[in-house]
Amino acid sequence: MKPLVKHDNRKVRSFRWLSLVAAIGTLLLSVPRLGRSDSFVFYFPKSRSILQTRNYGDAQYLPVLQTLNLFGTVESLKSRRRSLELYFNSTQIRLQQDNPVVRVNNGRVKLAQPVRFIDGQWMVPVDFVTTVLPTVVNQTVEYQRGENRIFVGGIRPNSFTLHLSPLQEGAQLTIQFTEQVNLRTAAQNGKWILYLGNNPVEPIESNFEFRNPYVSQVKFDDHDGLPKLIVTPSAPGFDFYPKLGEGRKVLVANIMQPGATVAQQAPVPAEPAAPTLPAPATPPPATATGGLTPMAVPNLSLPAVVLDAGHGGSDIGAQGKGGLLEKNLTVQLADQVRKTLQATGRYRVVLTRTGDVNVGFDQRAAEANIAHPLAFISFHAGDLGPSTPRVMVYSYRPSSPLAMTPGPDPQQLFINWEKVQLRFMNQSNRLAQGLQQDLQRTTKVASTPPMEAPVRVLQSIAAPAVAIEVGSLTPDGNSAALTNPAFQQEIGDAVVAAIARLQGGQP
Amino acid sequence: MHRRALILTIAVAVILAAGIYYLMTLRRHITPTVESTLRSEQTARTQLNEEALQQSGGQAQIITLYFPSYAGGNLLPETRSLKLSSDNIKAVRQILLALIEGSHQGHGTALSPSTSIRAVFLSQDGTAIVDLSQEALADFRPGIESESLAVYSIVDSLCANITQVKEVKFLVQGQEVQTLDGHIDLTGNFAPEPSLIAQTH
Repeated sequence: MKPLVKHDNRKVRSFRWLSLVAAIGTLLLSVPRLGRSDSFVFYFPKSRSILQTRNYGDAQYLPVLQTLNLFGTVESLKSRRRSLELYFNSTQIRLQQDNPVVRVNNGRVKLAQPVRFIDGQWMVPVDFVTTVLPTVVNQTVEYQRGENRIFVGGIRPNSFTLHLSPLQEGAQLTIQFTEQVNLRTAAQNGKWILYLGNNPVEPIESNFEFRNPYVSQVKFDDHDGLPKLIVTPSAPGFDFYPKLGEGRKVLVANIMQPGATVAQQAPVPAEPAAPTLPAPATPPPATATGGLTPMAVPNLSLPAVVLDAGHGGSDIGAQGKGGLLEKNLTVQLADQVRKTLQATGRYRVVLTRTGDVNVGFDQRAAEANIAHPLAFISFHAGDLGPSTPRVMVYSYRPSSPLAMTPGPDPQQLFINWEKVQLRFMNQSNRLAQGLQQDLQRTTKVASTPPMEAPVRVLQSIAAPAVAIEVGSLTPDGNSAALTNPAFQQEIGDAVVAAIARLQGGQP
Repeated sequence: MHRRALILTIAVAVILAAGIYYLMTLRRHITPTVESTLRSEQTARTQLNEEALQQSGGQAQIITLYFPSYAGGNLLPETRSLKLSSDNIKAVRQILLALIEGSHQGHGTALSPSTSIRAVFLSQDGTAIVDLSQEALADFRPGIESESLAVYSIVDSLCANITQVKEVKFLVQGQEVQTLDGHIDLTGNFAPEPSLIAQTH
């Protein structure tokens, strides 16, 4: 009897443990969690803007200040610990953390989910755009639940139906649009991309899957504000012949075996009044795994330039009037400079941070040092006084002359992590001076000579390294100039010029 | 018996609910009270600092403090008459208190008014080790330039007025910190940086 009792006890005990673990698991699973971010496109009659949404639990959230800023200027803002009060278009809006009720003047609007304060940003569930926004901005706002796009101001978006039919040595894709489109084609990652022009598109269905030997999927995408159809072939090596006809409302695309003649199909008459239609685009030579275009594969023989977007994740950095955060602005700047550098075809760009995540100083340095870069450029924004925009360039100098003895040769396997930048100080100073001159030439706002300071992020970089700070980004100043694409492009141009100069060895 | 237990439970629940409701209503009233306490605390601390500044022994002398000019991107000198203690550690404390008190001419501040000085040490090689409270990390004007100015406002002010202080090392709550606000490396000693001081005619 005794062993049996023991056995039973063990059973009961293990059952208790199991149920405890299950209970904790259920509890943890039921806690809403921060999820991935997604793009949300606002289509206005003459422009479009993209905001990043965040998922919290099952709900999708938009940053409220950035959303309102797309429609005008927030007139005043009072942010307390658990509530936010702001005036927009002479309307008072009051939000309270974890409360779904939004007070608009004296009225109350209940949102589907409670308002959240995530990573220093006030976030509202997406239904804010249909419940609160129309009354505040006095414009019609069209939004379909579950979609990542809204149409503002009575826009009539284009839409389409799609049909795939077999051909003798291929397949024919026929797409009927409700409005005229302008077509531009491109090939990327072994897929064909059909850009549909500037008019917004609201698809009835976004994803079409086929069991066809030539085409496996057609997907609509506009997460970057550019409406396009992405056609995925079932196997690599096919030719693609798109043609626009019938008043630019019907697109017929033939996907053919290589060598098959196009003349045997193409039932849609050619439309001479379609100047945007380019020559047929063929996909790149694709490998068995789907293949990548030469543009997508970094050419490792090119010299690397490391771009470091300061802050990120919970470290939001400086905060501007209207909710602009330094961590987001630095990503914008790094991205603009990346594009400008890559456009030269002379550099390979390495980013130390992609996405809104915390990256430590040493992690940034490791990322940079592995690439053996030509230069390292860190982007920051902060308080640079009342005259805005302003740009400052920094190079590294230790905080004490006693720390000036450089470490061992960085070519050795082990580098003195804390002192490695000392070996590159002359080159960094030269880069800073060149960059300041180029910035002064392009932006006309970098009149202050470069400064030397113990900037932490530059300390462990085994390459010429500088930090660029743009300003002023402060809660009481106007930071609109800093997000101006022309200003960011000027910074990109200056960086390209300064790096070329550094490469040429000129002072 | 069963019925009594039920009544008792309901009574406790009602009392609890009433208590929570009362506390919630109180919270609204409490907030401004806390603010005013903070304000009066700050005033008291300023008065205390002022006394500490003036009641130290020794002759009154002219000292120069360097306050950040966030608009100009440099440090602006401001002179004060102060009975600087002959004890170097006390003198470091006095200069820091004067910096915390802020500029009389409306320049920027390096340290938040709520910062307190936890400890000051002076090593034989002339390093002043300054241990500041957590509040030193608050209310920062953001950016590389601002952070640099805040740090050198303290370093330059200390080194300019106390000859024995050659370098400054910062601690916050007794710990070494990487940066104050994500930019300037605080792990090393800081030598003064006279080039940041605005050139006066």
